[in-house]
Amino acid sequence: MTSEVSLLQMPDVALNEIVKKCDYQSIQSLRKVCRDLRNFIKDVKPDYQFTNVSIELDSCFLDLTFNESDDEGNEITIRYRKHGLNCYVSLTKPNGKNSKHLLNTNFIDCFSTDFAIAMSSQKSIIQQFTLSHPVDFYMKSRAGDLLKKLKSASESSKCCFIDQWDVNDCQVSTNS
Amino acid sequence: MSCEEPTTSPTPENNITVVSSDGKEFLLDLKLTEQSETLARLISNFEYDRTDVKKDPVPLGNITSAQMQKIIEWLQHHRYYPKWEQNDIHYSTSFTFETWVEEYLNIPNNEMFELLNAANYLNIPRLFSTICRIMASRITGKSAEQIRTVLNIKTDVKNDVYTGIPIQEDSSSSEDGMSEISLSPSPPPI
Repeated sequence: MTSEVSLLQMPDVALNEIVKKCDYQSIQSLRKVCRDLRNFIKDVKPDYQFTNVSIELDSCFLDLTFNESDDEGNEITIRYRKHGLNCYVSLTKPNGKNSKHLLNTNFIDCFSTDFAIAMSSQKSIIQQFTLSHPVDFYMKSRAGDLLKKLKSASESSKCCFIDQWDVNDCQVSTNS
Repeated sequence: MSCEEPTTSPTPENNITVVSSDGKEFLLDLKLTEQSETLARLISNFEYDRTDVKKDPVPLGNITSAQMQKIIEWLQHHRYYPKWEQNDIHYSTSFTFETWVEEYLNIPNNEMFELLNAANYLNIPRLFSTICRIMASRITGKSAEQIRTVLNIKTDVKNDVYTGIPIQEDSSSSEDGMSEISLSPSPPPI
C-alpha cells in the first residue's frame, strides 16, 4: 500500500507557509527533527520578527531576551548559565521552564551560536538592542569580548556583520 | 429545438462537472468555484460561465473522490464568506479556529496532508492557510521527538555516514539483536 504522507512530502509552498506560522521556539524544535527540515529552515530563513533584543551579561550567566514587553506571550527569555566547564541553558516559557545541560560548552560560545542563528533569519529591523553588564572593569572587557565573539559567529554563519545590523536604537548600558 | 434548450440544461447552467482521479463526477455550483483560484481561472478562460458554451467535465487528476467530497463540504460552508485576505501575523500560539473548522479538520495527519496538497492544487487560499495554521499549532510547544511522532517523520540520523555519531536508533536495533539471540534455537556458545 502507499506509505503514509509526511510533512516532508508537502510542496515547498505549503511547508513554507507552515514554517512561517510557527514561532521561534517551534522552529528551533523543527530544526532538530531531521536534516531535511533543518536544511529547509536554513534556506527559507523564516522571519521571527523580533522587535527588541536584550542581552544581560553577568560573570556566570547571560540572559538573552527577545521581544521584551508586557505581553508575556511574545517574550522569550533564554538563560545561559556557567556550571564549571559546562553550560546550563534554560528557556522560560509562560507554561514553565525547560532546561538543558550541555557538557564541555562555554556559555558565551553557546549563546553566540544560538544568537547568530536567530539573527541570520531576522529580516525586519530590530527597534531596540540592549546590552547590559555590571559596572566593573573586568565585566566591561568581558562585554567587549562578547561583542567580538558575536561578530565572528555572525560572520561564520554568513549573516551580516554586527556593525551593519539594522538597529535603530542600540544602547550598551551598565548596571550596578 | 427551441424548447430543447431549457430541458437539457435546467441545472447544468450554473454548474460545472469535475472528475476526481478515481473517475467519480461531481457537479459544482459556479458560485462555489469562485473560492478556488485554479477553477475560477479555468472557468473564465474557457468561458464556462456563459450559458451558450459547451462545458466539458474538468479532470482533477490528483484529487480523489474522498478529498473532493471534503473540499466541497468546505466550499459550501464558506459559500457566503467574504473573500479571504491573507494576514501575515504568525504566532502559532495565538491561533483560534471556529468550532466548525475544528471539527472539519479533526482528521488524521495523512488525510490532512492530502487535503493540504489538494487545497494547494486547487488554490483555495482560505483552506490552505487554515490547514497551515492548524499544522503550526500542532507543532507548537512540542519537542523534536514529539514532532517526529505527530508528523510521521523518521529520524534520518541513521543515514548519516559522515560524522560517525552514534545513531539514535541504536537502542532499538540492539533490542532486535537481543530478541534474535533469545529466539534462536541453538544455545549460545560457552
